[in-house]
Amino acid sequence: MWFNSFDFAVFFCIVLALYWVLSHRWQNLMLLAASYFFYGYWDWRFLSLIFFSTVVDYIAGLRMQRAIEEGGPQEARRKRFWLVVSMVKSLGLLGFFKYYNFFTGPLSDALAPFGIDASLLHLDIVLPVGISFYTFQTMSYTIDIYRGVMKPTRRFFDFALFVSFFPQLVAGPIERASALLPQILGKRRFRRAQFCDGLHLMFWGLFEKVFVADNLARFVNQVFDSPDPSAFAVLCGVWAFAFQIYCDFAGYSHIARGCAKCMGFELRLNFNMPYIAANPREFWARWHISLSTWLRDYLYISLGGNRKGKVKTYRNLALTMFLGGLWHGAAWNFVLWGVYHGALLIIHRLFEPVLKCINLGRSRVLAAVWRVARIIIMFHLVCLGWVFFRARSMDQIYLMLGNVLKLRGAVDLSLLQPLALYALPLVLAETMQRLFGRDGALGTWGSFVWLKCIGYALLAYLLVYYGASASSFIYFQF
Amino acid sequence: MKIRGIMRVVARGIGLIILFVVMLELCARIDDSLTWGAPFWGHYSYALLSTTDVLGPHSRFGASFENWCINSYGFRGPEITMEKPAGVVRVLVIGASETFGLYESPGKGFPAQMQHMLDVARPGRYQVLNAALVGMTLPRFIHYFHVWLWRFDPDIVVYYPTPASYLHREAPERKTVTRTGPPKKLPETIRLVRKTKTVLQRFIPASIMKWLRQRRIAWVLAGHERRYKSGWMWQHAPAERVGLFKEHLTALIKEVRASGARFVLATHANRFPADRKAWSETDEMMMAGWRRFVPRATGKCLLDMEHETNRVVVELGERLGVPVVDVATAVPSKPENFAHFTDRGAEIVAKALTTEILMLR
Repeated sequence: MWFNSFDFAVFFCIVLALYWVLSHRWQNLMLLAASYFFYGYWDWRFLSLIFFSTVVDYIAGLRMQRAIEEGGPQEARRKRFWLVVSMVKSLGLLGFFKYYNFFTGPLSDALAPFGIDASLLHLDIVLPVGISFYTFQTMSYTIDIYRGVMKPTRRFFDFALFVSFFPQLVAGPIERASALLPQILGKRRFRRAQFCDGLHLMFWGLFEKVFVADNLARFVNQVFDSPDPSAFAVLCGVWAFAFQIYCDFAGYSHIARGCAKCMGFELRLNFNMPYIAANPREFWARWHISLSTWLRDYLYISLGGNRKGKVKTYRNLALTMFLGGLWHGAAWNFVLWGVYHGALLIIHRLFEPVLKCINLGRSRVLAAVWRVARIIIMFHLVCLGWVFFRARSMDQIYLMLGNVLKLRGAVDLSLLQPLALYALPLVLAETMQRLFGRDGALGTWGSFVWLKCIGYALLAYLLVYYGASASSFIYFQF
Repeated sequence: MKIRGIMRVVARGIGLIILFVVMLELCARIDDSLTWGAPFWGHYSYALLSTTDVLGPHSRFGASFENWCINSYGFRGPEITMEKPAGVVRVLVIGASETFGLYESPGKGFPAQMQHMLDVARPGRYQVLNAALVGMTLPRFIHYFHVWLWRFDPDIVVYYPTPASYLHREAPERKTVTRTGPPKKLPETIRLVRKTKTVLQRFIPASIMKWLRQRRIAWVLAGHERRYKSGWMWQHAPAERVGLFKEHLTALIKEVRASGARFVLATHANRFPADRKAWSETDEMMMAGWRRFVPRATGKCLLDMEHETNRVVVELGERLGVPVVDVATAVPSKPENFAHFTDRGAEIVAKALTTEILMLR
C-alpha cells in the first residue's frame, strides 16, 4: 500500500476517523492492528518476521532491565548476553534477507574455477519491505537499554506498535525508542494546529513525490537507459535524479510525519534542504537525518568516533559510510556510493583547517558568493555520488563519467525542460517557505492566508492534473 | 459576540474555498491555453468540433479541441485546397466516431493510417479526406455529400457504417435538420469538471471504476425497462430498421455515383467473439456500456444487427457492383478491436481498405 495510492487514502481516512473516537488504550490497539494490516497488505507472510523481531527485542529489553535492577557481578555479562541475542536476531534477519545472495554470489563465482558448483547456495529470497528500517529501530531500542539511556516498556502491545507504527514502518524516519515510545505510552490530544500541520506535510510530501519525483523519473530513466548519452544529457539526467531521489524520499518522510501529526505524534525531521549544504559534513546533517544520526550514535561513536586520533577517526568514518552504503542495498554500486561519501568526509576533515583560513574580510557579499560557490561544488560532488547510486553496472558508470569528461555530444538545451518544469516549482516553493520562516510556510494558518490559499491551489493543480501515475517509492527497496 | 466570531470564521472558510476553486479554474484555463492554444474565455469541449447549419450537422470548420483538429473545410487532418491537385486521387472517407478516430492516438485513426500506407505505396498519388463526424448517421451524410462533399471532387468514397445508429429509439430520417442564421453560441464551460473526471478515472482503482460503471449501466437499463412496456425491447435485429439501413445505403451509393466517384463499402467490426461463452468479464461490461446508448436493443439484438447489416452490405455490393472490404473478418474479435478501434485495430482496417483502393483502377 503506497502512500500515493487510492487504497492508502481510504485506509488512512478510516484509521483517522476511528482513531479520534477511541480511548487511549484502544487507540493504540487499533493503530497496532492497522499497522499490521498496512504491512500485511504487501505480503502477509512477513508479518511473522516483524512479530518475531518484536517478541525477541521485547524480552531482551526486559531481561536487560532485570539484570540492571538485580545488579551484582553477573550484571554486565547478562546484559551483554541479551544484547547479543537481540543483535544476532536483528543482523541475522537483515543479513539473510538482504545480503545472503550478495555474498554467496561471488563465493559461487570464486568456487566455479575449481569445479565446485555452488549454485545450490543461491536462494530466491524476497526482500521484506522496510526490513532495514524497523531492524535499525529495534536495534536502537535494545542498545539504548544496554547503555542505560532508557528503560524498557512492559506493555507488549505498545512496544509492538513502536516497532510497527505504520506511517514510518517501511521507509522511516528511523525513530528512537526514547522519542517515540513515550508518545505511544502517553495520551495524545487533538490539536488543530498540529492536525493542520500534518495535513500540510502530507500534501507537500505528495506534491514532491507525485509531481516532482515521478515526473522526473521518466526523464532520468530515459537518460540512464540510453546506450550512449551525451555529456550534457548525463549532466541533466544526474541533476534530475538528484531532485528525483530527494523528492521521492523526502516526500515519503513528509507524508509519514504528516500522518503521524494528524494522530498527535511527532516524528523527527528527516530532510532539511540537503542541497544547500556547503560541505559533506553539513550534507549528512541535512540528508536522511534519522539514518545518519543512527549511524553516528550506534556505529561511529561505538567504533571510537574521533576520540582516538586522526587515523582512527578516518578509519571510523570510512567504515561507517561503507556500512551506510551497504545498508542501502546489497549491490556494489551502493557500496561504492558509501565509500565515496566516506572519502568526501575524510577529505573535508583533512582540508577543513585550510578552508577555515580563507579570509574574506568583512564583506557580506563575498561571504555569500563563497557560500554559494561551495554549495554548487558540494551539489555536484553529491551528484557524482548519485551516478554510482543510480547506475546499473560499473560499465555504465565508466561510460557516463567518460562521456562527461570527454564533453561528448552537443549541448541540447531542451534537456533542461524537465528540470525547469518539475524541479523549479519545488525549489521556488521551498525557498519561499524558508524565506518567510514559519509564518510563510503554507502549513501555518496565520498571516497571508489568502495568498497561501492561492499557493495551495497552484500546487494542487500541478499535483492532481500533472502528477505522474502511482509508483513505488525508491527507498522501499532498502 | 461568540456567534459573530463563528460567523466570521465560517465566512472566511467559505471565502477561502471559493478562492481555491476559482484559482483551480484559472489554472485549468491557463493550462488549456498553453497546451492546446484554447481560448481563455468561452466554451471549450467536444461540442466545439461539430455544428449544424445549412449543410446540416457536420464538423465545424477550423475547430479544434485538445488534440482533435478540423481543417478549414471540415475534414479531420491537415489543411488542403478545395481544388484537387493535378494527378492526385482523392479518397473521401465517411463514417461516425470509428472513422473520425475518437479514441486512437493522434495520427492513428484509420483514415490517417490509410494516407500513410498509400503514401508508402504510391508517394504523392493519393489524398485521403476524413469527413467523419461523431454520431453522424447515414441520411445526414447523404445530405452533406449532396450539398458540400461533392465539391471536393472525390475519386473514391469509402463508407464505414455504424449499424447501431439504426437501433436508437428514433430511426435515422432522410429529412436532415438544417439551421440558418448565425451559428449557435455555446455556453461557457467549467473546465475543471472534465479534467477532474479524467483524473478520478485514473486515480480510482479499475475494480471500483468497473463496479461503479456496472451499477450505473444497470440503473439506466432498469430505468428503460421500467419506463417502457414489455415487448418494447428488441431481441433480434428489427427487420424494418435493417430495411431502412439498406434503403439509405442504396441512396448514398446513388448519390456518390452521381458525382462520378467510385464507392467502396466496408463491413463493421466489433470486439465480441461469436461464442458468448468465450466472452470475458470486460466484454460483458463493454456490451452493457454499448447498450446504454441503444436502450431498446438487447446485446443479442446489437450483434444480430451487426450481422444483418454486414449481410446487407455484402449483398448490396454484389448487386450494385460496389467493392466490399470485409473489415468484420479482417479485424479479429479481440478486446483491442472494439467498434472504436485501437491504434492496432485502426491499422488493420487501414491495411484492408488500402489494399482495396490500390487495386481499383
